[in-house]
Amino acid sequence: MKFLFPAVFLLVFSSCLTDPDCLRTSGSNVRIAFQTAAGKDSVVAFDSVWVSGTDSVFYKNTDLSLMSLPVNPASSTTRYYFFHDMAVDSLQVRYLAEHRIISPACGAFIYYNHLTIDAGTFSDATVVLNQLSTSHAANIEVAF
Amino acid sequence: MQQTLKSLFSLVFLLWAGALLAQNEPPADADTVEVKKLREKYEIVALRFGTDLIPVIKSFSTPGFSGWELNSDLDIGRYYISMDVGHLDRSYDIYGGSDYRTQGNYVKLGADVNFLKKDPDRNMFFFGLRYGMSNFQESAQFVFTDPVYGAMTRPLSNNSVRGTWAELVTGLRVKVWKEFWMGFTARMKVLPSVSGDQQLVTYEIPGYGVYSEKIYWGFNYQVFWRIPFRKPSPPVEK
Repeated sequence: MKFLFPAVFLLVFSSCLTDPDCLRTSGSNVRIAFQTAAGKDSVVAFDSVWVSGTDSVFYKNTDLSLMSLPVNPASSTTRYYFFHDMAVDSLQVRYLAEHRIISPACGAFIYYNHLTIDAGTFSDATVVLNQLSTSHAANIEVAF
Repeated sequence: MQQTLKSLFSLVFLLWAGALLAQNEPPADADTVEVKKLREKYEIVALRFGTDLIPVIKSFSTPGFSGWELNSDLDIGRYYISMDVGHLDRSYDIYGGSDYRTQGNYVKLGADVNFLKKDPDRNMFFFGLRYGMSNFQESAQFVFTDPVYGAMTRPLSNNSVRGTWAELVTGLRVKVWKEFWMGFTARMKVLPSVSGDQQLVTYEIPGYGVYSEKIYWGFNYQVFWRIPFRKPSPPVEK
């Protein structure tokens, strides 16, 4: 019988530890890293980047090796158009949107995961992280 | 002289042998206690049924909450077979403008062990196990603002979801007056599992609680009425 009181005590008082925290780790942007064949960062001079479903223009006249582009929440796919050096490349990604309620106090969010590449003009593009998050890790690596 | 030594040796030997034999024989006047091993007779003694007062009170006091739970157990000696049946209809306003609703029924089956073996009123301090099952549906109006695509509203629903889980329970049940009983049950709910959720990740399983919490705690404050079928038999010899 000695174990009964501590067991009941543990049961009753550990219930205080179930409140969720409001830390949000889900993101809505795909991070694309451009790399050389040797795996080093490749800085590319982009004239502009276009994203399907929006009129916004991204990264106008910008040199960079890593970019962050939004996914369309109204669709399961988003297509990106990369204008550079008088040429255009495209990349279409597919994803699964999970609608998740964290708690009434924290809110409801969309978690994008199961990211895959549907189509594109890049010769070598690979998904390295299939969940969109708030971290700075790349989701897709493109050999450029 | 030799005869005297033989007689003395024989006497010492007899005394020594007698002392050895005496150690193996019980003393003539020693008390003896015969230990009888007893075992409890397992027979259906009574049916007890009742309700959890917490959902009843919350149905009146908490906006968006409607629910009830019926509890019953079958007294078969030290062990009790238990069944709980309930219903939940609960709505939430979610921060950011969304809302959520879950509706469904659940049943929990299991058994309890009473640790108060010798209580003449059959009061209980018990531990037990339950297996819970719930059939329910969920709906949500998902409102969110994307920094690029702007504000969106999306109606989502899971029309036929099944949830299962397990529970470790403990509590007290006390005879208050005649066959009227009161008690409480603390529940540690574990191993939640759902199937059939499609558009929306399940938030709350009726009978379990918040699905994302892999250990969820519950508490019942219960009243019961007991229907006795027979007087419990005394323990019998093994």
